[in-house]
Order: sequence, then C-alpha cells, then structure tokens
Amino acid sequence: MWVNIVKNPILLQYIFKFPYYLCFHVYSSNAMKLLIIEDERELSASIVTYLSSENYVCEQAFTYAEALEKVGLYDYDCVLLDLMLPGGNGLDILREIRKRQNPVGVIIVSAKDSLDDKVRGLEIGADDYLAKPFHLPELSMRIYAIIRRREFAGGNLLHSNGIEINLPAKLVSVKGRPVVLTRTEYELLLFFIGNAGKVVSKAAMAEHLSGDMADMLDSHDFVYTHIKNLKAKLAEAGVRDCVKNVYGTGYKWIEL
Amino acid sequence: MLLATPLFYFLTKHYYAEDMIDIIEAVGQGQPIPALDLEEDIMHGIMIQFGVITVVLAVAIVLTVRFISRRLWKPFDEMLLRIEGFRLEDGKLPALPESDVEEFARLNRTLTALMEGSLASYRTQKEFTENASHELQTPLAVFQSKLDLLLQQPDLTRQQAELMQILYETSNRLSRLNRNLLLLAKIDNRQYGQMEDINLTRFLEEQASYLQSITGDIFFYEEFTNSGLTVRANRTLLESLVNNLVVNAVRYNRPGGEIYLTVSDRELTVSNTSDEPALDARLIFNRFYRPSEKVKGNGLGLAIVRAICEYHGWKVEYQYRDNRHCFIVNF
Repeated sequence: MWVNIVKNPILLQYIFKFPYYLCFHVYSSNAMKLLIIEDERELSASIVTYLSSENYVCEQAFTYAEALEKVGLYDYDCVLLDLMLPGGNGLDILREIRKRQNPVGVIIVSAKDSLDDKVRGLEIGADDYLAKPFHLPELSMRIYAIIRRREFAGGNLLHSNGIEINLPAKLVSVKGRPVVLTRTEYELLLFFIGNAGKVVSKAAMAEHLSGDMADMLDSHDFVYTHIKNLKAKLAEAGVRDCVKNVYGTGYKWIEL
Repeated sequence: MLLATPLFYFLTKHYYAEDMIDIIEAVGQGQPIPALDLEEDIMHGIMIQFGVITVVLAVAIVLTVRFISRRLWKPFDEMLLRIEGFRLEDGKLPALPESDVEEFARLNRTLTALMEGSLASYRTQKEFTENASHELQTPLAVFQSKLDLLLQQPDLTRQQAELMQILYETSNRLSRLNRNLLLLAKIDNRQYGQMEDINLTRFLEEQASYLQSITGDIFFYEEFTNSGLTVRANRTLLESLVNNLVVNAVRYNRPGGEIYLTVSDRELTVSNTSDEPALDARLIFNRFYRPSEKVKGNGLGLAIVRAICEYHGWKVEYQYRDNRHCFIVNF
C-alpha cells in the first residue's frame, strides 16, 4: 500500500496537502467555492485574480486527471470547465459531475465555439456556455447569476445601494417607488451589480449588451448613452454617485 | 463495296460493255457486226468506274471512321462528363469508367490521383483555417483577461486608460476577425446542417428592434409585400446574413441617411443611401476587398453574405440604382 502511495504522485500530493484542505474547508464555509478547470495557466491565473477578491475561493485544475480528482473529492458551488484538456475531454468530467447527483453549477468555457458542443454540453447538464475569448466581467456575471439561482432557487430580490430588483418580474424600485428602465438599462444595472467594486470595461459592456452584434459594431460609444440614461434615472430616484467613470474606458459600481 | 455491286453491274452493262453486248447480240441474231469505237468506249468506262469507286470508297471511309471513332472515344467522353461535374467543394471523387484501352486506363489513373491530391490539400487547407482560428481563441482570451485585470489598477492615469481603450478596441477587432474567419471556414466545411422552414417576414420582424437599435440617426424603412415567403435555411446563418447586410448598410451610410429593407416575390433587398460612388459588383463579395481607404469593417462581411447564399443555393447580387446601393438576395 505504501509503495502505491509513494508511486502515485497525485495521491502523495493530497496526503501532504491534507492539512491545507482541512483549513480550506473550515475557512471557506461561507465563501463560495469555485473550481477552475483550464489548461492555459495564464488565463486560469487571470480568472483567479479577478474572482478571488469577490467572495469566492478559487481552486485550479490544469489537467483532465487533476480535474477529475478534485471533482471527486470536494464540493464546489460552481465549476468552470474548459472542454479541450490535456488528457481528456471536458464533457467527460461534466458527465462525472452529473453522475454524482451533484447540484454544482457548471459553466463551460470553450475555445471551440461550435453549436454541437454547446448543445451537447447543455444536454449533459451544464448551466451555461461561454465562448473564448470572453471578458472577465462577463464570466463573473454568469457565475453570480448561477450561484444566485442555486442559492435562492429563483424567486428572489436583489439589493444594492438601496435599489431593489425583483429578478423574476424584472422590476426595479428605490424605497418602494418603481424606476422604469429600458431593457438595455436593466441589463446594464444587473451587469454592474454582478461586478460590484470592479472596473468594467466599455468593451465588456458593449459585448454583454449586443451579443453577437458587438462583433460588427465599430465602436463601444453606444454604451456611454445607456450608462448616462441609467445614471440619470437612478439619480432622479435618489441614488447618486454609484457609478464611477474611469476616464471613459471603464465604469465601476460602488456599494455605498 | 458489296452494297455498291448492283451499281457496278448497271454501269458495266450500259456504258463499258455495251458495245460488246451489242456485238454478241448481233452475232446471236446473225446480223452484221456493228462498228466499234473501242478506244473511246474503254476510256469512257474506266473514267466512270474510277469516279464511282472513289465516291463509294470515300463514303465508306467517312462512315466507318465516324462509327469507329464514336465507339473508340465513348469512354473518353464519359470520363470528360464526369470530370466536368467534379467540384472541389463537394469533396466527392467521381468514379471514372473502366477502360481496357491502355492509354485511357493510364489517363484514368493519373486523373484520379490528381483529384485525390487536390481534394486532400483542399481538406487540409480548410481544416487548417478552422484549427488556426480555434488555436487563436485562447491567446486572445489571455490577452483580453489581462486587459481586464490591468483596468483594476487603482492608480491608473488618464493616458494609460486611453491607451487601454485602444487596446480593447484592437482586441475586439482581432477576435471579430477571428470569429468571422471561423464562420467562413465552418460554412466551407458544411457544419451548419440543421435546416428549417422560416417565414422571412416574421423572422425580420423579430430582428427589427434589434436592428433598429444599431441604426442610430439613420432612418430605417421596412416594406414587406410578400409576407408569405418561406425559406428553408439554417437560422444562425440567416441571422448572420441579415445582420451583415444591415450593418453594412449602416456602416457606409451618410449621417441622417436611409436604409430600406424590402421583401417582394422571392427577394430580400437591403438598400442604403451613401456618399460612396457605385461599387464594382464583381469585386465587393471578395474576401478583404476594400473599395476605399476610410474603412471600418474587416472586409469579410460581404464574403460571409456570399458564402451563406451559396451554401443555401441562393443568389446575391449588387446593383446601384436611384443613388442607392442595393443588395438583393434571390431565394
């Protein structure tokens, strides 16, 4: 048995790291746990840096075997899954996760933006699909949406800076008084709140708002008009200074 | 020659041997022998015979040659017919007819090898485009994610932020270019198999609010005279087709200009006002063709439009009439 353990580096690694995992589980009892399965280390590092400061604790896996190991050993709130991994196909990991009746949220992140993969991934039980390249705020927003959905099972209210958002009804109100927003402004507000405290680039917002169409648009300037209108409507309802402009390149939602 | 025997008999009897027959007849009836002009008679006869033989031979030769050559070239004709039907894009190798003529069999083998070779290199090239685009997505994602992180720096100066905006727009252009190349490669590789019947008018009405949101101060007119027009198409591609045409019409419009979207008969027309003169209808659908230097697009929009039309067996053409650029898709 000991020979086997010594021969198996992954097992050995876990034995050495055991105290750490113990801490990890105690420490992170109220933070959300994410597993980032992505073989491109720089991209994985970016995601970890961006998300860590929000109430997330991130674990990384770089290979198929590593991912399978971690998925089997621990519970996560959300898993980011790259499909093309060294050593295997990400869809098999997804199958493994679903076989365990695990209620974890799974977002597929793939360089292969093919409809087949998307359909198959969603069929097997992924919650969302994001094609590379993506903006980190977009990813953060999607994770936020999935975790909220799972935590509160849909029928919930979102609060930020005294603004109340009824998500199922898509209604926004401040101190009980409704604020009428256009669909774009509403989307923008949710995008801001999903990235609270972070500078969100105009480019990310443009892509979030216009989807595939952003591909064809030449500038991100149309975002500015929508932000201006949203700020004006919120200010009229009494919520001021919650959007900070970073020299026109990005915007930041500040929790007052 | 055999068929011509009665003709020879007739000629011999009436022109060549008629004096001889006369003599024999005269001797038989005990009459005096008539006078003979043997020399002239023989010359006459030989000339006629020569002429007839020449004609008969010529006719026989012509008929034989035509018949034989038709039989002889039959496998060749068939081969030509099949090769004419060969399209690199279909990826199918035509089966050439077997031949026991050594030269034709060799030609067959050479042609098959040639076609196999071009098919293989075409396939490799197509796969390369697709794989290259896929491989580019990850570095692009890394680049974009680092930009997103850089933007979080608390002590960012205005100058740095402006530089970052340019980087964001460039990275957006890069990923757009890459996605468009990938789309073209996928259309070429026939990866959009799912077809459905789509009512064009209803489809356009669903898209209208979306399309109007990008038109800005440009007037957007719709006129659907054939609301029953149904086309069989892949929904994703049809969306891409309409989006590309409308975005084009917006991009090259003049401020406060107009866009007309019309459906009539079996046609969809997108036309727009513009300060640009008429374009070269043969060139505009080419990849990366740019008519003027003040371009904002990546030069792939109309190539995608054409590829989608060819994929569905539709025809797309460009016309310049009443000072408007018209793009007409004929279903």
